[in-house]
Amino acid sequence: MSAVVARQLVKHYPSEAGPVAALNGVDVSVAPGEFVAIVGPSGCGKSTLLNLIAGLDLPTSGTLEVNGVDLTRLSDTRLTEYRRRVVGVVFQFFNLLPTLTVEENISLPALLAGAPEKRALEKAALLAGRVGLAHRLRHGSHQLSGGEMQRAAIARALVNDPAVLLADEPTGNLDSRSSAEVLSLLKDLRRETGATVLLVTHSPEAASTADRIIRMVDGKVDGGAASP
Amino acid sequence: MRRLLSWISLRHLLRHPLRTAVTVLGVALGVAMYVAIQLASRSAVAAFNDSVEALAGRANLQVSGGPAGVDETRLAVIFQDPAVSEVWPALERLVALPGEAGASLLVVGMDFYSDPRVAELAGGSSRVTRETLLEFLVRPGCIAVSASAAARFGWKPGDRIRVSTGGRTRILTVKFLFQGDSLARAYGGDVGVMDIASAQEMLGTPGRVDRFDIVLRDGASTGAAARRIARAVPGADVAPPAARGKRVEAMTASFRMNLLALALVALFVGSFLIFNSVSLSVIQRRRETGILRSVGVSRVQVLGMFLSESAAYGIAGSLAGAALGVAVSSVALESVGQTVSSLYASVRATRIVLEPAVLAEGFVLGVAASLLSGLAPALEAACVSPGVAAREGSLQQDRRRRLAGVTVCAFAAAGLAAAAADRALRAGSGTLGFLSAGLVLLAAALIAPAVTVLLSRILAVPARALWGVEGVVAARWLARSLERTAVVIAALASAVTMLIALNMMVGSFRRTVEVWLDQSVRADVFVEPASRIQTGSYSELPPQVPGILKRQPGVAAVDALRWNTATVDGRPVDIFAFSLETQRDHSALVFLTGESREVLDRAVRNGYVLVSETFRNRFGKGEGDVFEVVTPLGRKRLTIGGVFYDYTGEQGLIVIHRPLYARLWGDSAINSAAAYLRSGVDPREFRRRLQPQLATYDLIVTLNGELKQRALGIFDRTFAITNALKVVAVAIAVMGVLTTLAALIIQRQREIGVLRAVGASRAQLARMALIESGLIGMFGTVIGALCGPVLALVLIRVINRLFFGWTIIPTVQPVWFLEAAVWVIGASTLAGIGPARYAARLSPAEAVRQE
Repeated sequence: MSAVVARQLVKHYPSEAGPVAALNGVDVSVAPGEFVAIVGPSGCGKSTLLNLIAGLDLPTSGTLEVNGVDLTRLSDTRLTEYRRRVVGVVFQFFNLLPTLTVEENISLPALLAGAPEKRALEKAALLAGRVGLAHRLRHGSHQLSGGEMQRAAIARALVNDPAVLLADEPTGNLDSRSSAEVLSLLKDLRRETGATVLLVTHSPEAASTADRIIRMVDGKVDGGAASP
Repeated sequence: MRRLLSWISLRHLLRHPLRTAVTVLGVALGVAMYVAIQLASRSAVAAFNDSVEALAGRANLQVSGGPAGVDETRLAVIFQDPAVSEVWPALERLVALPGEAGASLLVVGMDFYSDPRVAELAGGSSRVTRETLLEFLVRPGCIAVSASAAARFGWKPGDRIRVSTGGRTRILTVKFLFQGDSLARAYGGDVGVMDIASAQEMLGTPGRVDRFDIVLRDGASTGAAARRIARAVPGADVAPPAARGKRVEAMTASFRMNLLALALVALFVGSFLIFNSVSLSVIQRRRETGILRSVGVSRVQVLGMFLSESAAYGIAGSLAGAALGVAVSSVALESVGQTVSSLYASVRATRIVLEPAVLAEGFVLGVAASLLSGLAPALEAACVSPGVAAREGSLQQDRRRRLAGVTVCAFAAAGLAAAAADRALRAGSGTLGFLSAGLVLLAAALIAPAVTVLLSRILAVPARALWGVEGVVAARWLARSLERTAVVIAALASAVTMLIALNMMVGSFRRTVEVWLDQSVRADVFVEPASRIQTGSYSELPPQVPGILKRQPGVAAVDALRWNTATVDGRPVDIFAFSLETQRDHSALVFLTGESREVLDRAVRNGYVLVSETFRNRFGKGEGDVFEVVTPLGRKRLTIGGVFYDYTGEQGLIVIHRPLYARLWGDSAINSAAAYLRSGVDPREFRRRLQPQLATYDLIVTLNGELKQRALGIFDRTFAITNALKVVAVAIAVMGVLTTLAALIIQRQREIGVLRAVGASRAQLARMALIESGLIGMFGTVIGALCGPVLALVLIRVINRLFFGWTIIPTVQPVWFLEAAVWVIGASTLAGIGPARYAARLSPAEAVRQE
């Protein structure tokens, strides 16, 4: 069984000039535990694909199965449950909640999923230690550097032990040193947790850390998969 | 260029239709309250003036004898005055219409033989023959009624109508209808005319009239004539008809002024909405403003741009408010009219007099309040440097500095409020009293940011325990968005401060009155003419009634009360004459100093009178002082034997032992009787046995508890409009919660998207928004609960004392606070439902895509 399978996936966005196609019949299959980079020019649909896999949006047509579950058939409640249990997301702009501390940010998905507070905080502390932020637990997120923020965001994405980790340009806003740190962290965590990792990126260096690269052009996968 | 900038602002208003609409509505409600109250209270006074004018006709001087009337033989004396050209006697009495619930008719007795006004009335009706007019003179019970009263009650000529007055029911025959713009206008048109002799017989006041209407010779001096006639008719009030209206205007001035001040609070709360909306707009358009500045727009132009936004809110809100005010003014008029009638002077106000000046005032106030409240945020916008986007760090620092500044201002306002209150009491200045109250409200508003910061920190722990992670996020959101939430919390704080202060003031007042009623109203049974209930005014009680009461088994004592008015230092006061001996033995008066029994006993022995606290405050005369009063029998000097608490009226009350009153005034009529029962006698049973014996009269027998209920009913009606006003103020503030929350949700779209992405359900997001709006309500309530009692003290100890002169014992009941908390927190939470649903519906993908 594949971790992610998309068949003839189409996503249209409404606009004043009529619907705009962001995805135009995408077929993708990712094996469990695989580390895949999705690359392509701006506007090619890679982030849209990631949002669909993250359960943040629904496709216009086609099917999308993650861990054997067809996302297109899920109700909003089930989709929320899916986001809590199955996927973890890391964004380009970190998207930590500015009002919460590092500890609170990391434990947030667990708390939202109804985990007991004590367990959620323990897990957050464990993950913070793993990403090198043990000393920053009680700090506000605005006190962190870019690299630290992204590491906190990765810890947050992992707090519910997701089967699939999605990262949308995680190094897009970082300097080269922080980028390297974050990429190596993703790789290590994949190995430790066995999670499937999908990484959307512009950067060839980032893509080169993946097992496989999917190239996208104009809302379609370009010529099938390629090795890094 | 200026037009361009204004257009930018106006387009911004259209882009936020909800915020614009709610802000305009906030101003509109504030202006509407002002316009409605002002129109209603002016219309009530105008109705009284109109009635006075209609009754006076051509007369340019009136001689009035108060409730006891004037001896009709004085007419000859008045006619001897060289300045007098014509003089006619008149009687005026409200009679009840037993068939018509709550309705009363003003019966005017006129001399059908000689008064030219009668011919004028009859002249309007073609069917009135000389024979008809003669019938009025020879057959008792003839009445002419105004066409409008006839239409209202379904009367036509020849009908026999039932009226009740002086404890008896009479049948009158309608002889003709009259109309026109003079007498037919009196008492809102519910007026009838009888021959004076017939009226005297019906009212049981033979030989007495209420008034002489005088027409002076051309060129005669009104003032000089008035002085001469006053000497010739001692005890009577001699003044031009307009003076009666002026007097009612003066009597009701405090009441009207206080209503108006309350109405202005609504506008004050509404102006927070403007401040809030313009502030939101300044924050949201910081970047745009920076760009505009960098392409050459000057500070003044930026200022104008944002002020034009306030002006737009102000103009639209004030126009809508003026219209709304006119629409609701008739509801207010009913309440104001009732209060004026039960506390000051009978008036039937049915029509709103649309004074353009009031509408203009409302409009100007609304626009001025809008511009003023938009000024601070507009100035802030004008300070934005060209091109530079503010950094979070500098904003944080800025915020801390501003928080400190605003908090210092709050304490300064509180200090000034205390100083103003002190000065107001010393100088007897009502304006300073209102200033003090206004400063307390301002302090409540200014302390809001500090309290918000403090409470959201304190609340972080319980919020987590109560609502889990949603509570934590909501509390943090609230503290972080201080510059937005503080304004709406300030608006709520001032509305709740007013709410709690009014609850406390009115509640304490009511409680004080209850205690006072229990202490000083101890008779078990009261007998009055039935018309008293329906007309609200006194009429004479048949003199046989006290005797009937005395003969009943189980009666320990019987007393009778005479109500009259007199003039002291040129100002009217009330007089109650009853037996101070009976009062001493069976009841009490609560004196400022001295024990009731002793003071009453001394008054009986030495012929002292007793005066109310309001009298002492008004005339500056207390125990042991002597004052002069003019009675029909000449000038009398009265010595004050004690000052008692009284809540029956604000113009001052003199209590006289009835035998002394009868001697000084030559008046032995009575208005009501009271019986004290022996212990063990059941008052209900007593009343059941008494009623058949009074069957020949039209009387009402009231038990002690019922009388107190009636008094408290009048009290509650008086404050009904106050209740409406405080609800409006809170409603305006809650509307602020709605707009602020909506703006916050839009600002936080990205955060909301992230929350959805990391697993927050729609329900969890909605809960966060609702907790936040509930917390906003709660913070407002906490500040209100702290500042409300302070404002209540200013209202009780300063404003009430200066305007009304009553002693109110401040009391605190937890339920007032609880009630405010439930309403305000509940309403704010409800206001959060719309924004919460919006937040829950946001597409997470779109939200995180936004930069």
